[in-house]
Amino acid sequence: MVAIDLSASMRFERARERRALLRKMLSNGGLVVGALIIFIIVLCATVGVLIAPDPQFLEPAIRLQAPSPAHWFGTDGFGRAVFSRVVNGASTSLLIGTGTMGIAGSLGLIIGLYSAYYPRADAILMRVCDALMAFPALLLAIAITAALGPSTWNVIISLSVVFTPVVARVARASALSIKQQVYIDSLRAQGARSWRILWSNILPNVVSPLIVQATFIFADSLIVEAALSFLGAGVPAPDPSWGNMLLEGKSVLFQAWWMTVFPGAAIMLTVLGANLLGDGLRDLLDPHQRALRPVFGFIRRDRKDKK
Amino acid sequence: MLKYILSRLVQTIPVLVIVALLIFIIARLAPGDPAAVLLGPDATADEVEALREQLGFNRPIYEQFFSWAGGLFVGNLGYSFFLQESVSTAIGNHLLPTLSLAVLAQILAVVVAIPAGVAAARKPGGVADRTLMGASLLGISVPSFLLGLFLALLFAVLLRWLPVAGYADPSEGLGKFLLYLLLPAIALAAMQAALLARMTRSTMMDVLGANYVSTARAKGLPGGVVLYKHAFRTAINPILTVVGQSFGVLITGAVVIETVFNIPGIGQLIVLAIQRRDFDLIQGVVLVATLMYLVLNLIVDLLYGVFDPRIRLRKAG
Amino acid sequence: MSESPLLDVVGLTTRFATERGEVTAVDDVSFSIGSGEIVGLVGESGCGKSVTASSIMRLLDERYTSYGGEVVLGGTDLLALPERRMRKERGRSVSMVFQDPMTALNPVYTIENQLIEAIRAHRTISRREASAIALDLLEQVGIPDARNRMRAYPHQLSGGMRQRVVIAMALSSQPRLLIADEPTTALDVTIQAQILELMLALRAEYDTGVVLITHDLGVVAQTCDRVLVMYLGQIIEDAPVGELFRQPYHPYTIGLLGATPSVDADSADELQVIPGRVPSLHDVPVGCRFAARCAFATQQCLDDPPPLEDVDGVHKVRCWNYRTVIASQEVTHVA
Repeated sequence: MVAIDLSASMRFERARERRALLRKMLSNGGLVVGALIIFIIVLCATVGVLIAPDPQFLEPAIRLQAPSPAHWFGTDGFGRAVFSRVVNGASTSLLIGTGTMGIAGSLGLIIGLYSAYYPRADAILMRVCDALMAFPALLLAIAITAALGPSTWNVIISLSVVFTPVVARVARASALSIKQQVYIDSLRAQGARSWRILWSNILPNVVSPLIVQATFIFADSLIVEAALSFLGAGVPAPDPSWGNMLLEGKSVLFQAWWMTVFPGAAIMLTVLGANLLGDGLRDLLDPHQRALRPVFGFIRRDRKDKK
Repeated sequence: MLKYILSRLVQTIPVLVIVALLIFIIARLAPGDPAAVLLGPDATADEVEALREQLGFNRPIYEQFFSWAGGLFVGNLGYSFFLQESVSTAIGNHLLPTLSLAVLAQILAVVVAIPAGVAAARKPGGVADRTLMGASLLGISVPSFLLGLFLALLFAVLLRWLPVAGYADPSEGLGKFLLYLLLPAIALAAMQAALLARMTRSTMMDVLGANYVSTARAKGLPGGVVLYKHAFRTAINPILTVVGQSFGVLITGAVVIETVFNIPGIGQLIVLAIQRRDFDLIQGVVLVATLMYLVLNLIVDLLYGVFDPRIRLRKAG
Repeated sequence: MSESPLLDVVGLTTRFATERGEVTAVDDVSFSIGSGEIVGLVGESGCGKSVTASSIMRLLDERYTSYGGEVVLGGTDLLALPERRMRKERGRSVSMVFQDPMTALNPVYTIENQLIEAIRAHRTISRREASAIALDLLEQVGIPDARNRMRAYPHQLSGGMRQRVVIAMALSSQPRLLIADEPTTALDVTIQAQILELMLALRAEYDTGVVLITHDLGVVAQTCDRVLVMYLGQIIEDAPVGELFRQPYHPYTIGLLGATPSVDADSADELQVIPGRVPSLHDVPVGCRFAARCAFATQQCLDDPPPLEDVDGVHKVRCWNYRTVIASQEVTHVA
């Protein structure tokens, strides 16, 4: 009998799988472009903030000037440089986006897993989620920030409330489909405890659609935040956010197109990048399409999900 | 069929209750004393207390909820101090522009998206398909109000083809009414069309691969008949669901776009309410919008039964 | 029955363009079927039986598929026809019954509607006349209470009933050739028997030629006059049914028969499993395609692809060593 070195062959297999995955990722054009765009935005938000001039610096003498070599994106109604405001707006938007993604992601995951495993809690939790998802997202966000008062943190809180149910639904659906598989029953028959099953078996399978979902939530929270700030219920002046810059730009739309075009383009680019990234990740990680695609707060309820 | 309708209605009720509860809770989250806010910083403590008593803020919280909820049943959504009229009146006055905008946008989106989706599904990988995927990706990435701003810049400022702001009541003539609504409706429709086109495409592609489509082809039926009578007919249901459910997006989108184009609809109402922290108004608008959304979903569910005999004829739920 | 055959397939080759290159799903397949003859087409999943069927009907997407060879039905080469002419033949001279009765019927239209559609596709008659014909067809295929069943929707019928409806639709224009792709796979055994009996009865009545695609050798034994065995896109054996079961010539066929559980086998006998796996169509082996899994393989088998050889006028086999195979079988069949 020849002794076979299993561990070496397994390591070889794993390395091969990793290389295959990398190749797959690189061949997905959308994924690459999306990731690139997001990377650039992150760069702006971090490095850009450090090198751009102060976004709050008022110079009324040069207000409402068109783009020029001195001020690449022009100046706004208070004489502030639009360029640095856009760059700082990037960091605000990124903060809100990642904050929402993080909070909604973790809370939703916990709620989803919990309700997948404990049917009594499930009934109540899912009803509440349904009710929350019944609100058009923007309106819910408006209601909450109106109540709490406009501030960056309150925006994150209200967006998290809006998007947590979506994550919960996705996590629950994934967990349920795993739970129904036979090997879980055999684990329980062996005496494994519930939380352990949850952690080491169900969680890894739930993670993939969740990552995809998180990316989409990032994209959508950007959109909703922009709308919120545009309506005056989001990030308050004078802190720059792409949304409230659009608000300021609206009143001088005819005179100062640059106040609208540049923040607008920034929003468009970032959301496009996030969408591409999300689509690409979905091709890679979630071929069964378990992630829900909220668009501008519209969460498409899967009919099958109702069971 | 009746059983189906009834069961769907019954399912909606707990959601409604929780929705009302949530709105109530959210409004009460506001820090500070609403009575004090209403009266302003110069009010004396007695005046504030008197107002609190009058508005019922001193009653226990559950009593407040029940009286508010009870009021909902008779259509009493509260009173807006700033507008000096009841919330229901205020909403009623502002509803038409918003709804017209949303409906117009929906029609535009459907007319463009569904044929595009069908054309793309017929030849996957072809010109129609790739154009659709590219255009729809852009469509999804541009929030409607942003598109509205860009369109306003382009058409009204640069080209001066269309009016940029304002609204004409239908009583002033249908043409004028539509003219003012056209640009905002297009802006709204874009994202909707993108989503719908993608949905139509993927549903049609699924359906075209189905066995009964192969059977239809094997019968010797012409391609067009197979496509429309068999494939599209079965694809209608999921597409319809998307159309219905996304109407809620249109409403919210309309709300924001109104501020871009100065249309006196719900959007303006909400912006004013936010600025003045008029809770009753905010609550009322959010509640009404959510209600419309829920009702719409219900109607879509019922239409589902009309188009799919499997649901219509099911004995039990 | 020795007039010119009803269907003469000569060198049929079907290629698909896939993301990973071109794939030849059906490679130089030739066989013929006479009127009233039921020919079974057997093989594992992926051997090309369904593609052969779809190729005869030209149902595949011609943007990604290319056909080679000839498919001559009653004197006309179907592969050479323009699409519009081919469409006229579909459902009229050649019909197909698909695999899964659950999904073969459109759920939103009534049975009557779908039958009438099939009938009126090839005849200009009124709906009322078509309806009468539909009723008659349903009775012929043995659907009880046909008049009421006509107005039903597919989901209201059982699987067996649905399959009868599909057969009725396929026969509505009295085709000369019927292709049945795994018509009983999705059904219970008892229903299976009924459907097969139905097909035999219809064959007797209309003298239709039938291609019966299946992976179930039991079905073949019950119903077919002749059997074609396919492996990886090629026909590897072609014989009358009795002979195939009694004296298979190809090692693969032997393996298939050995892997079938039998009522009179000793329970101590092991089910013989053919070792190895079917190669991918992207990696077709040089030489005989079955060689890697074959107990009788020689060097010639690995290097040279064997042709389909006509042994005695009725029995054909694609194997270099079939004489050895026969000899070894005779030894084991002593008991």
